[in-house]
Amino acid sequence: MVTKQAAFRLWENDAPGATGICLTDIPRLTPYLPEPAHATGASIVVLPGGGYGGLADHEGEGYALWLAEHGIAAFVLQYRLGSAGYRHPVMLQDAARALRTIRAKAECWGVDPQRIGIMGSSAGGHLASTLLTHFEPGDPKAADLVERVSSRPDFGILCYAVITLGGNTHSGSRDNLLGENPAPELVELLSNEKQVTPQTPPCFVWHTSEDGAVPVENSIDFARALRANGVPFDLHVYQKGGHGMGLGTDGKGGLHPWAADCLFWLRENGFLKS
Amino acid sequence: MKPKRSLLAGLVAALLLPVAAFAQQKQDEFPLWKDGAPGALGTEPKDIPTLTPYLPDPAKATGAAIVICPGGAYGGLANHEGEGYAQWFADNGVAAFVLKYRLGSAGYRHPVMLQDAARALRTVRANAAQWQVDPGHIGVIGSSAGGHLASTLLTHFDAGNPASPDPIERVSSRPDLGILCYAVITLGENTHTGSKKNLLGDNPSPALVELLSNEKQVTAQTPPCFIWHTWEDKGVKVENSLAFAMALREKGVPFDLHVYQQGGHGMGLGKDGKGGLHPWTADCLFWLRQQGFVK
Repeated sequence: MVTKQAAFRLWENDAPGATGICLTDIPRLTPYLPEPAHATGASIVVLPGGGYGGLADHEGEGYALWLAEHGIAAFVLQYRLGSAGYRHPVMLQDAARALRTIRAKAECWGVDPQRIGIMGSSAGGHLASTLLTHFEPGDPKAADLVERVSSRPDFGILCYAVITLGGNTHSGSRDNLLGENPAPELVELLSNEKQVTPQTPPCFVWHTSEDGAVPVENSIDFARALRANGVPFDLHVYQKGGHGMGLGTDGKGGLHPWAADCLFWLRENGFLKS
Repeated sequence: MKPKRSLLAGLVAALLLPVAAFAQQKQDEFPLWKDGAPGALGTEPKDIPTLTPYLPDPAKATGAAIVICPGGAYGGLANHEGEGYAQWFADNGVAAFVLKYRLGSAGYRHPVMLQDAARALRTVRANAAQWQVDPGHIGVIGSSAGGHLASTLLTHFDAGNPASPDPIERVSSRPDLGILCYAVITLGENTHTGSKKNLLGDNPSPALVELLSNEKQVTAQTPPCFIWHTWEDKGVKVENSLAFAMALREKGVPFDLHVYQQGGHGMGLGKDGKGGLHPWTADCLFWLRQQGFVK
């Protein structure tokens, strides 16, 4: 039995840069915990997609329940959105804070601080890829204990993700993230296929070749950058299926094969050892 | 003594026969050309390209067929990428035909291997009715150097010659789909040099190297492909598969591409560590179902 807990704020006081006190100004995490007997010690921060304008439930709770069934503690992040007037770097701050929170409080949830992944779909995938390439070490002298730990995910799972903000981008997501007429340097900085280094964590990247909203080049180019930097990855391009599939279906009562491919990759990398 | 033995043997056969009739069937290997292959250098087995059919249980047959090109750097033929795959295909209702193609190690060079592969595909197509196969559902699968050969057929097929006296030569050699397993694709920078040497000899012309760097030979008519490779492959770099997929993408050809992080070169059906086959097999069956090749 998966336990869904109450959502909690990332910052007890106002989030940095908050422009109001509505729910859309308050980034929160919702934990989905596995049955203790099945817990693997792994955890994942889940970033739903929605063009940086919304948060799709099937890419949030939908994934979290599945992950928790497989012994992975899942934390769905409600990050601040362009549609609420926010722009980069607010979303990155929310994602980094979420990861730090799990790491700093790993003991509280019984998870391993060195097996915390980030998972994102579509624009949530862009945000995940941003954290995977723009993480920072913690500040050992910070008064806030959460700020003392690194924001580097131990692995990434990217589902039909927006990666680039260049030619193959999803322009709605880009507008919501950067506003109109962003500086070229900012576009480059957040075209994450250009930001990969040998320190980028290992990734599981998947996409469909028929995706009409976010071209598959996003995932292929990210994988090529990982390859060029010696970073291990799985890349899965499934021919059929439109954008936003979520867990999907195999047409025979099961999930789309990407789900099994992902679990296989997590297992073989030792992320699911208990 | 003899009559009793043959009676016993007859009894055993009579008991076994009904079971065998509902099972898979491996048929005899047969030569692609009855009167000797074009360009044959001799008459030994290494000079005689053949096909070996593995037919599915008729109750499970889907009407699809596949020609299998085992790997071995154009210098050998790996069994686990030949018969190993054939039995798995037959289990899944697909009629499989393992091609023994002529090798560089026997003194052969391009275009002999392509001729053998094209002939194999034409043979299955021209005789489709005999094997209860749909002539429009014949694929090709190749691994490693066999993958190079498969990718060559996928990009260098022809329509056949309707006026040929040989009925096999009248049909197209175009596969209806391709499955490429940790394939050599390019003969350029990321190639497998041993395979290249066996295929083209020493000092091939740049034009020939280009012609058989199949990532450069894709067109909109290239059949849909399932491509897989491992990131850790040190024998044949994953760049081969990435380049082919990108070429298919550019020309609008449908494909699946799967790079699995772990596993060295030459995995074959592989394992999932839990008593089953490597997940590439499940991904491949899922795609083949979408292509109408399996149920």
